[in-house]
Order: sequence, then C-alpha cells, then structure tokens
Amino acid sequence: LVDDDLFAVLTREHARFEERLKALLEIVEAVRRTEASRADLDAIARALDFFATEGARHEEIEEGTLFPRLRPLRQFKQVLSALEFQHGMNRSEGAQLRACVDRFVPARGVELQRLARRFVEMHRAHAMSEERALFPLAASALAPEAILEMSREARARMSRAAPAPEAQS
Amino acid sequence: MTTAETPRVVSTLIDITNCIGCRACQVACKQWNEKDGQQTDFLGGDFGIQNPAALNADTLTLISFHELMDPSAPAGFRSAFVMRRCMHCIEPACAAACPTTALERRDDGPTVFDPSQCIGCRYCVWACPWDVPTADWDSLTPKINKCTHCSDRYEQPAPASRNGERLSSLEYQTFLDTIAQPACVKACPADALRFGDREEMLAEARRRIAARPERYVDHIYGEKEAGGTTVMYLSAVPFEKLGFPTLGPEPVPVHASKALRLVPPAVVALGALLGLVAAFFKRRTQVAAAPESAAHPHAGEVHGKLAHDEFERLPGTLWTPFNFLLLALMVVGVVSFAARFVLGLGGGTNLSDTWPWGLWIVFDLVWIATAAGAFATAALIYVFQRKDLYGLGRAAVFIGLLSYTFVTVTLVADLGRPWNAYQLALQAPEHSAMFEVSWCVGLYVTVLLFEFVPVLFEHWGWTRAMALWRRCSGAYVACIASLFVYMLSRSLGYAAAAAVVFGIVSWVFRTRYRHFEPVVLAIAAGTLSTMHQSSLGSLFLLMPGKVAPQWWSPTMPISFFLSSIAAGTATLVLVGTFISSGWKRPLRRSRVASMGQITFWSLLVYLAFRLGDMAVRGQLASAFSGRFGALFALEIGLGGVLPLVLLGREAWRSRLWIACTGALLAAGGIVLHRVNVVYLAMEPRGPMPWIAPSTYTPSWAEWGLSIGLIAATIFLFGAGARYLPLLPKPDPREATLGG
Repeated sequence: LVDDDLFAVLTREHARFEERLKALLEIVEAVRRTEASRADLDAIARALDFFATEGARHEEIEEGTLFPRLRPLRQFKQVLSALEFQHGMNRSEGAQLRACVDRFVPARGVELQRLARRFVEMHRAHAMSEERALFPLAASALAPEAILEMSREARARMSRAAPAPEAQS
Repeated sequence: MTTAETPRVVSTLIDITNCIGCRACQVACKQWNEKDGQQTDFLGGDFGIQNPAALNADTLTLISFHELMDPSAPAGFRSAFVMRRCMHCIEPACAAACPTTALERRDDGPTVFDPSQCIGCRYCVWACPWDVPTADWDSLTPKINKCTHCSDRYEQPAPASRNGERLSSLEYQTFLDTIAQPACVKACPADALRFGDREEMLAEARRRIAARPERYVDHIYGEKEAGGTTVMYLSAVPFEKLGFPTLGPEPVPVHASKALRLVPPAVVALGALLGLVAAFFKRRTQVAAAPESAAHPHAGEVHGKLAHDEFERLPGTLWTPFNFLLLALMVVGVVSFAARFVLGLGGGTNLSDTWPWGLWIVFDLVWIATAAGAFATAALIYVFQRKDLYGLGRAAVFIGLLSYTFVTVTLVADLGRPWNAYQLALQAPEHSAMFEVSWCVGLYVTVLLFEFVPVLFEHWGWTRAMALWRRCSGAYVACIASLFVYMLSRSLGYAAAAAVVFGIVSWVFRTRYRHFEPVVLAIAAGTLSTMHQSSLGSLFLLMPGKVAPQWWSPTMPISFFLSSIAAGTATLVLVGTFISSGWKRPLRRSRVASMGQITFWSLLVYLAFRLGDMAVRGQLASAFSGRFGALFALEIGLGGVLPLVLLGREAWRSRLWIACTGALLAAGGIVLHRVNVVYLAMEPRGPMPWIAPSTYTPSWAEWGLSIGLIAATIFLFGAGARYLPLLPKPDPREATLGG
C-alpha cells in the first residue's frame, strides 16, 4: 500500500484511535481505584465525544466511500455485512458507556470499568478486522485508480467535517 | 444422530485457515451476552496476542493464538488463530451431568443454559471433554457460563412485513442469513464462520477439503468426535497440534446413561431379592430355634427382651480434654463454613475452572464409603440374620446418620447456589448420576433416621411413638422406593412395580411378634445404598479422558459399591477398637473378628472384580508402570493385598491389633482410591484452550470445614454414647477385647 492511499489513511486513523483508547482505559482504571473527580469524568466524556465525531466520520468514509465500491463484488458480501454489524456494535457500546458517564455515581465505578473495557475491546477488534481482512482484500480487488479516487473522496469528506479543536485535545 | 424425523440441527463451521484473529467474534459474543470486558495485555510466551488465557465466565468465545513450526512458511513458522467455544455436542456430557436440567440440549442443536435452575455443582465443568463450562468464581452466587450458540438470537421471529409490505421469501431468507445468526458468525469479517444446517455445513466442509486438498487436513473435527458436535472445524494442521483432544466416536454419556437406565429395575429387583433372602434366613433361623422354642415357649419374647437390654450408655463425663479439643475444631468448622459464604466459593476455596471439585468432594466420597458400615451391618443383622453382630448395629447406624448428615452440610458449602437445591425436586433429569445420588442420599438419610429413632423412643419411653413407628415404617419404605423409582424413570409402571415389591416385603415383615425386626428398613437401606454407592462411581463415567486408566472403567459403579462395603465394615472394626481401647469397654472378640472376616471377603471380592476388569480391558499389564504406576501399586498393595493377608486368617484377625491394622489398611486403601479418582489420578487440562491448568491445594476454609465436621462426628458419637443406649453390654460368657 502506498502511503497516500485510502487504506494507509484509515490505518493511520486506527492508530490515532488506539492512542485515545489507551488514554480512556488509563482514566477508567484510575477512576476504579480512587474516587472519580469531575475532571476524570470530563476526560472520559471528551474521549467519547472524540469517538462520536471522529469515529463517526471514519465510519462515514468507510460506508460512504469504500463499501459502495466493494458491494458489487461477491467476495465482499460477508466482510461488509460483518463490518457494518461491528460499526453498529461500536455505536451501541459507545452510547451505553456515555449513558453510564452521564449518570455516574461513585457506586457505578465497576460498571464504568466493564463498559469501557468492552468498548476498547470492540474498537480494537474492529480495527484489526479491517486491517487484516478488508484492506488487503480490497487492495487486491480494486484498481489503483479506484483506490486513488477513493483517497481523494475521503480527504474531501475529512476536510468537510474537520474535528473541533476541543475534540482533538 | 439426526434422523429424518428430527428437526433441523443448526451448526457452525469454523474454518481455521480463514481466521485472521481479529477477535470480532469474541467481542460480539461479549456484547450480545452482556459480559464484562477484560483488561487486555500482551501475555507473551505461548499466549502471544491471545487474550485472555482461557475461557472464563466473561469470555464464552475466545480466539486462541498458535505459532507452529513450518519450514515451508516464509519465516519458518505459521500462525493459527482458533475460535474456542462450546462444541454443542449432539449428546452433550454437560447436559447429561446436570442434575437440574439447567443445561439442556435443544432439539435443534444448541445446548442451552438456564441460570435460574443452576445449583452450582460444577459437575458439567468436569464432565465436558472440552472443558468449556466455566464458573463465576468471583461471584457470591456463582453459576455456570457457556456459549448457547446464540439460540436466543436466531430464534427471534422474522418480521412479517417491512414498511407495510409483506416480506418476500427472498427477504425472509435474507433475514435468516444475515440477522438470525449467532453474534460471532455475524461479526466475522473473514468468512471463517459459517452457520446453517449441520448436514449443509458438513457438505460445505467436504466441498472445501475436496476443492483445496493442499490447504486442509482431511479431517472435519466434530463430525464424529464424542458422537458428533454441531460446531465443527477445518484446519491446515492436525488438530492435536492446536490442542484439540483426540476423542473417539462414542458419545461421552454413553456409559453413565447405561448405568443409570439400570437403576429403576435394579431397585425393584434388589428389593425383591433382599426380601427373599431375608425370608429365607429368617425361616432358617426359626427352624433352627424351634426345638429351643418348644422347650421354652416364650423364647422369642425373651430373645426380644434380651436384644433390647443388650445396650447401655457409656458412663463418665462428656467434658474430657479430648472432647474440648473436638469442640475447638468444631468452632473452626463453623468459622470456615461462614467464611465460605461471606467470601464466596471463589474467595473461600482454592477451586478453579481447572479444579472445579476439590477436598470437599473427596471428603464426601470418603465419608459415604466409610459410612457404608451402617447399611452393611443392618443388612447383615436383619436380612442375613447375623444376630451375633446385633450389638454393633446401633453404633453403626448412628455413625451412618451422623456421617450422611455432615456430608449434606459439606454439599451445602460446596454448591455454588445451594438455595436452588429445590430444583432437584422440580426437575427430572433421569440421565444425571448427580440427580440419582442427590435423591438417593436424601432418602437414605431419612431411612437412617427411621432406623435410629427407636433408640430415642426407647430411651424416652415413648411407647405410642414406637408402636406408630412399627406400623408406619413399611409403608414409608414402599412410598420412598416408589418415589425414587418414579423420579429416576418417570415411568408409572416402574413406580407401581416398586410399590408392589416393597409393599409385599413390608407386609411379609410386618409387626407380628412382640419383638419387631426392622427388616424392611434394612432392605430399603441396602437397596438405596447399593444405588447411591454405585452411582457415585457413575459420576466419573463422564470423565473417561480425565481419570487415569488405572481408575477409570465402565464398571466403576460396581467397584465403588463393592469397595464401600469393605470400607464400611473396616470402619466398624476401627470403631469397635476405639470403643474398646479409647473408652475401655469390654467388647466381644467374636464381633470384631466377624466384622474383620466380612471386611476380608468384601475386600477380596472388590479387588478380584477390579483387577479382573482391568485384565479384561487389557489395562492390568501397564497399570503398575507410568506416571500413576506407583500410586496404583500403593493402593492395591498396601490398601488391598496386605489387609487381605492380615484379615484372612481367623487366628490373626481375632487379635485386636492385627484386626485393627488390617481394617485400617483396608479403609485407607479405599480412602486412597477415592482420593485418587477425584484428585491424584485426575488429569485436568483446565478451561479451554488448555494452556494454563492451575494447580490445587485446599484452602484453610476447605480444611477447616472438613476437620470441623470430622470432629463433630466424633464428638456427637461420644455424646450419643453417653446419653443414649448405643453400646453393647459386656457379655461375661464370651471372650472380650479391652476393658
């Protein structure tokens, strides 16, 4: 894969998400050990906001740019169905975690931890699914021109929905 | 196996060669089953990127990681990712084990689990040849966890319409294909998982192997293993290299099922047989006593009177230093019992998914075996009319009652969810040895109580209660025998046969003389004990791959029963010795010698049967070598052959120390047998994927409760002997031991 193609862009995004996931886990583990402060909860909420915006944009690129080009190809039926299902799982897991944070009381520290861990496990599994199953298969199935075109389209989508400064922090 | 009449059996085909190890199945399973996420780490070593190390209460599906040496691969090795989860056997051992039908196989394939029925016995954990079920060790209410093949997911009804329009058959099929699937299959992006009819999946597997023979080993794992499973695997490397156990085509529950099917007819037949034997010996005794009766017309009454006057209380105070020590140990037992419930099963014990049973089960098996003296003595006295042993009868029954009661206490502590024990009365898994044992032991305790209460009535002078007991004991036996047979067979025919047989026996041995003999209670005790002593062996029939071959055999129920008689009678020799030496009571030498002789014969029969069975199965030649050879030699030599030598000659066994040593070795050999079966000769692999079986050393609470209950038995036996007429009076006409 060339550095500039869509798959490299999406893989870099996964790496960025992984950093956020690690940070989220660190905060949640700390909250589990001690009393959660307002600042901790705000930090968790910001991380979730990040996934709600950046993650959604990432999914939009995949579902709006990549998947439509693969859908006519028979060998992608299962993988696309699975990845869309995983996107749904990630969203529902994010919503559950968010609800837990919004209604957080100290007694719910254990629940917060288990939901956060599951959220992290899901995102990691999903990233691995795409990097190991989808990207190599798509890279071999699509013409280089189609991949470049998708890269341009993805960049356009990214620029249209640039993350707000606080979401990047 | 499926037939044309059986419904569609759903199945998952796992193509290991397609798995990319993304763990999407693992997390999808977690989400659908609302299981906790776990902190993931790089575990290193054999585990690599695998997380967690094995299946557990929160991980019902796991991707295991394997690095296999392969010179033809680019880096000299190849990676393999294997989805581990329940195999959903066509004849599941876990469901066969479950005493409350909490685990049950549905007609369409999945083995499902209802936690509201689970008593937390963890027999399914032991029974599964793939070690799939796991327990909630961190919970105060630990239940079992396992994959249910998402049966609740794919059985959701298909919508009849969409946007007001009826679904077409294509849309309906699409619903089934893309939505009504297990979460793991739905989430798999790599086409490693296929879900559908088992026959279709088998055809698909064969098609893949035929199309790319260089890619796959020619083996569909699960097609035939353990009678076939509905989760099947394809692989590029032999399955044993991926840690899959090599299993034959025989379903695991086949032996236990055969043994348990015999229980209802065996109860009826044994009841009839013991009734006939009792009638024969009673008639013979009456004939032998006839000349004497002619000379002494009231001999029967005199005999009866003598019999009851043969017992007395132990003089002296209960509050000796030894008994204070016992009391202190009982306090330890109470604290340990409380700790088990405060800390939970996981916190109070060192049990794990590798060792779901531990010291308490060993303790139960040993205690039930050594308490067999109660039924053996009752049967000898009343069925075989061995009146020379009459003096030991009360002590034997009282020890039996105490032992079985405390076995029940241990079981309450050992069950993860004892408050669900009422489910044993509501469900009817006649295929479960645990169910049989539960009912049989429960009913036998009531028989022991029935056998013992006359001592209390006599002591308190409750003549009306005694008369009621005499009238009712026969009817009670007929009722419980019928109930037991019905629970085990669910057949009114068998229940009626049991009612008729035990009813006739009760009528034949009803109260006809002033001296009533509880023959029918002895017959009930013998019948129920035969059943549960043998069914304790049946428990292990589901573990052919785990119990070492020196101990595992399809005839384990018989060897458990035979050995229990030897253990029980040997224990009575020891109790007799304790009474004479510890309490300085004169004891008839002939009684101890007689019991020693019975121990000898029962031990001989047991050993001959067990070694003969091993010889027939071709296991004997290699039994004394290998990993467990020394242990086997110790059990057979020290606990079998040596006591046979010591107890074999009448002149030897008439000497207290020789009889005592022989009995101690015989009982020790059988105790060692039980310890071996449950612990020392057990080869657990641990929870799937068998990478890290843990070791087991009982916790302080496990030891504390066990020791406390042993102390309670000794203390209460001493207390009973001091307050109730349990011990035989010395007979000046006979040679005695001790005193």
